[in-house]
Parts: sequence; structure tokens; C-alpha cells
Amino acid sequence: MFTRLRNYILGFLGLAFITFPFLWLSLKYNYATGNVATVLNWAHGVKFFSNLTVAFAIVAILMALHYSNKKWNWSHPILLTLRPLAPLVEQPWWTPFLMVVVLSAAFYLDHKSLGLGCMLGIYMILALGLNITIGFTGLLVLGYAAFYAFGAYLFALAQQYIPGLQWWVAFPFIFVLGSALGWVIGLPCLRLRGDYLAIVTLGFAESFKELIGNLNLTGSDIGLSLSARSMVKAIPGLTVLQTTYIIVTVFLFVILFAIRRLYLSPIGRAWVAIREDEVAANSMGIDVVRMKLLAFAISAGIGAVAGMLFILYSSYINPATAAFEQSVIILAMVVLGGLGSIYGVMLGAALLYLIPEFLRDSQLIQDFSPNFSDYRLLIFGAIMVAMMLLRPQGLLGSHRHKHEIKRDT
Amino acid sequence: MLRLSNIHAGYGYSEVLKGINLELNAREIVTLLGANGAGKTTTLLTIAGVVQPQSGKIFWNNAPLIASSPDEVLSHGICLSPEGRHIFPRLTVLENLLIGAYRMPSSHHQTKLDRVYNYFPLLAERKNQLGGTLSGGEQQMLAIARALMSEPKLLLLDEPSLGLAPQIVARIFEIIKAINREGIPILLVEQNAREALRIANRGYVLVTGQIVLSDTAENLLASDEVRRAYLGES
Ligand SMILES: Nc1ncnc2c1ncn2[C@@H]1O[C@H](COP(=O)(O)OP(=O)(O)O)[C@@H](O)[C@H]1O
Ligand SMILES: [Mg+2]
Repeated sequence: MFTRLRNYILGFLGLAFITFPFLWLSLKYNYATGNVATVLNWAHGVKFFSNLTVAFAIVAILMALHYSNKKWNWSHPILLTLRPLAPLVEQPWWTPFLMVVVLSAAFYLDHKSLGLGCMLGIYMILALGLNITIGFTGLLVLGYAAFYAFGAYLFALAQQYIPGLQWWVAFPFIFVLGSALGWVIGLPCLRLRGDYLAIVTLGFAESFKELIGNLNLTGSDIGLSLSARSMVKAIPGLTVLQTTYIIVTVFLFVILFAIRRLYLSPIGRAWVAIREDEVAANSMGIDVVRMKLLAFAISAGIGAVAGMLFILYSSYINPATAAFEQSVIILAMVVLGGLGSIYGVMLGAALLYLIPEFLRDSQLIQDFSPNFSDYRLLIFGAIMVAMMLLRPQGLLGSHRHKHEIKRDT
Repeated sequence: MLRLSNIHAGYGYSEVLKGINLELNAREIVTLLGANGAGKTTTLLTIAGVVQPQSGKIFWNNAPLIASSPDEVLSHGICLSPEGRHIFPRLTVLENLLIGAYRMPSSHHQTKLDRVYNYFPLLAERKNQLGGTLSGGEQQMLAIARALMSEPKLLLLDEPSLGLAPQIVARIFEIIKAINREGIPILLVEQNAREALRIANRGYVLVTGQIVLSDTAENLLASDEVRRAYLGES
């Protein structure tokens, strides 16, 4: 009992310690002009403080829940209703801190960085989603960007027919329909393995891109844009971009927790077993076909949700979203970070998205070659070849390789 | 418990099993002997639902066993430990075992694990080691242990002694015997006829897809035909 209380107080103090600089910064930051004020701006400070209090309260509740009962008995009738929150509570202890740090970044990042943050979050979600098929289950899916574009187009189209459609109403449907599309695409692919599966999914993505690029319904090669009524509504006191950033981040966390939990559940074990040895997996009672379809569907659904987040951020979508290049970039993130490693693929997404962005702005590179970003794919290719030679398991390879290394030393 | 009635099965158009009749009763160890290519593995795969019979029927507890895939057969309690072990080399021993218990609710896992570690104390020591880093004998033990995790009502073992040193083979056969003493019937496919007949109650001899001999283990051990063909005696 005492240790629980102590942990709780320590956690709260630690939290206060970590968030204090942000609080302080925000006191000095003038949202309207973007200047850092030399005097304390109480109005903003108070506004920020109330936001922070909410964050504090959420985190405090999460931590209290976390420490009050290590092993959750979710069958209790009251807790049963909270069951969907289980993945949130059963995370490592530092998770609430991380969430607060990342979420409060909305308050102190400038406009440009927030934009980068949104796109980074979206790419991380994509990498996490693709990792389910390629990393966990070992199904080489090449046309992942098609599901991404599908989600974005679905939302853009739906809000034309249902004026004022809000993202929080649409996202469950987008996830389910994206999953259904993944399931349908997966069906004929299940007889195929390796390279053949890659070619079929690539073919699907290309024809999907051609389709949306030529149909009048989808705005042909011009694309679709979001009407003002369906855009993100700013949280009072925040800008639209800050709100979008928070939405993307919350989605990222929820998807991350859900995937972590899936990975550690029998479903995750079944996926890995299929990747390792399909025959053995089948004779251990794993329904290989169903599990592969499930991986396909969940992965596609996550891709579609990422697409919805993208159109919320950019408010505009065109067929280039489904381009082969997009699929390759997401694939490269997964491979670079480490196939099958949840944190690895997020690192891969961060590196492959942020580095080219920073390079684009660098004066040195600009002098060297003004259209440097045209060489992006070339550089990706070189990185991939180097990775295959030097570190085939990826930067953070999955923990299986760690075991091997440990044993050898 | 298990009865195969005039089973014909094979791959594509080729017929490997040409009318197999075989029976296994509760608490028995039955061994299926035969030279390479006789169709022993095919017989097990047919029971396990990997290969579909072209004709004939399989009865399980006197009811026809209708299943189109291994996972359906497993849900009847029939578990195959395949030839060549097929453990998951890049998963830890513990993960391998948990995949064996895939169909069990996770609250049962610990008791299952304790029981299996009881047979194979070595696996408890190595539970965090990767399957692929175990020795051949240990991998075979892991394969059997993994099959046990599913709480089988019938265990099909395909050449557990394949490629193992004689002392290890003896250890593994002892464990098989011990598992059987707990009441699990076992259909044991072996080329190592002497060891297999020593622990089995009855045996069948398979030649090019047909059963040519079936008798109690003692009688088979004593029969001239078996001694000449499978025990290397003249
Ligand atoms: N997947 C397969 N496709 C076609 N023929 C096969 C296949 N597997 C085994 N066979 C053939 O079936 C026959 C019996 O094989 P098998 O059951 O593995 O024999 P055993 O286990 O007794 O050594 C052999 O002639 C073999 O060539
Ligand atoms: Mg064989």
C-alpha cells in the first residue's frame, strides 16, 4: 500500500518536473504573434495551465490505475465497461510521461515543426501498420500506399455526400472499410508467397492509383479537397494545427498500444509462428488463412486511418498519395528500423521522414543542388542496399536478434 | 479410439497410400514401421488433416473425423509432431511452447508449462534461449513438448529419433513411454524399429503404401521377417 502511494507521489513529482519547462515556455510564448515575450503573459499562462491540468489529471489517473493494481482483473463488472482502455493502463510506467511530453509539444513547437510533427505521426502510423504484414506475419506487401489513399479518398468523398461529416464520426467506418478492402485484396493473395504476393499487391496499388486518377468521381488527376465544415475544429485556445497535431498523436499512441498488445497476445504469436514456419504453425492449431487475412485487414485498416489523418492535416488529396514511391518509402522505413520491431519501425519512420526534410532546408545542400529532393529515392535505395549488407535485421532489429547476440558473448 | 478404414491418399494424382487399415486403442503406443518412402509420413499427415484422403474413412471415438485442415483436427485433440521437428528456430523455447498452447486460454498456460517442464527439465533452464540454438536432441524434446502443450488426446510422432545419437534416442523414448503412462495414446512412426517395438504395445509394418504385417510388439520383435528387414539381422 505504502509503496503504491510512494510511487504515485514520485510519479506526480516527476511529471511536474518534466512538464515545468513547457509550462514556463508557454508563459512566455505569444501565440498570436509567434514572438517570445519578455514579460509573462498571464492570460496565455492561465489558459495553458488549465490545459495542462487536464493533462495532469489524465496522467495521474492513468498512473494511479497502473500502480494500484499490477495485474488487472478485467472481468470485474465495473472494469468490464472500461475494457477497451486496457491497453492504455497496461503499458510500461514511463508511458504517461512520454505521452505528456509528446502531447505538450503542441504548445511549444512552431508552426513548421508542428506540420512536420503531424506528418511524422502519420508516417509512424503507416510504418506500424505495414509492420503487421511484413514484419510480424512475413507477408511482403508492396502496395501499402493504396490503403492510405483509400482512407483519405473515402473521407473526402463521404464528406461530399454527408455535408459536415466529422472525422470522429467517420474514423471507425474508415477503419472497418479499409480492413474490409484489405481482407478482399488478401483473399486471392493467400495462395501466393514472397515475390508473387509483392507483385500482386503492387499491381493492385497501381490499378487503384490509375482508377482514382481517372474517375470523375474522385476528381481525376486533380484530386479532392476537404470542405471547411469537415476540417478539424480547433480546441478552444488552440490553433487548428495544434489540434490536428494532438489528434494525430493520440491516434499514434492508441494504435501503438493496440499493436503492442496484439503482438504479445496469442494473435501476435500466431503471426510470428506463420512467418517462421507455416507448416508447423498450421499443425499447432493456427488457422493460417484466417490469421493472414486478419493481418492483412488490420494493417489495411490502420493504413486507411492514416489516410484520413493525412487529409485532415493537408485538407487536400490527389492520386500521388497512392504512388509507388509512397509504398516504397513506407517499406523502407520498416526495413530500416527493423522488420517486426515496433519501436524500430517508428525510429525508421522518424529517420527517413525527418532527414530528407532537414536536408531540403539546409543551405549547403541548396547550393550543391537546388532540386536535391529529386534524389530522395536514389538515396533511399543506397541506404537499403547498405542496410542489407551491414545490418540486415534493421537498426533496432527485433528482440530475437538480441538473444542471438547475447548468447554469443 | 482411432480407426483408419481403407484409406487411399497421396499427392496430386499419385497414390501413396493404397488402402490402409489401422487401429489404435486408448492408452496404447502403436508404432508404424517401414522403409524410407513406404508412406509412414503420409499416413500421419492424412490423420492430421494436412493430406486429404482420396477415399476411405477415419474414425475418431467411433465418429467419422471430418476435418479439412490441421487446425480442425487439432481441435479434436489430435496433435502431430512433424517429421524434421519443425520447431520455430527464431522464437524462444518459451514462445515455442506457448504457440503449442495456442488454443488454450492463457490462464491455463502456467499449469501446462509446469507439466511439460516436469518431463523436460532442460527446457525450463533454456526457456529464454532461441529454439534454433538448441542441440538436435533438445529440439526434438521441444517439438514433443510443444505438442504436449495443446493437451492432446492423441499424439502423432513422426520419427522422433531422426538423426540423433543413440543415448539421446533412449532418453527420448523413455519420455515417450512416460507420457503414455499418463494416459495419452501415441502413434509412433519410426525407422528405428528395435527401440520403437521395445516401448510399443502393437506395431504395423508398411511396405509401399500397404500394411503387410500387424501384430503385438513382442511378436513383431520375434518375427523373422521383421528381424531381417528392419532390425538388420540375418
Ligand atoms: N509432397 C509430396 N508430393 C509428392 N510426393 C510425395 C510428397 N511427399 C512424399 N511423397 C512421396 O510419397 C511417398 C511416401 O512418402 P512418405 O510418406 O514421406 O514416406 P516415409 O515417411 O515412409 O519415408 C514417397 O514415394 C514420396 O516420394
Ligand atoms: Mg517420413
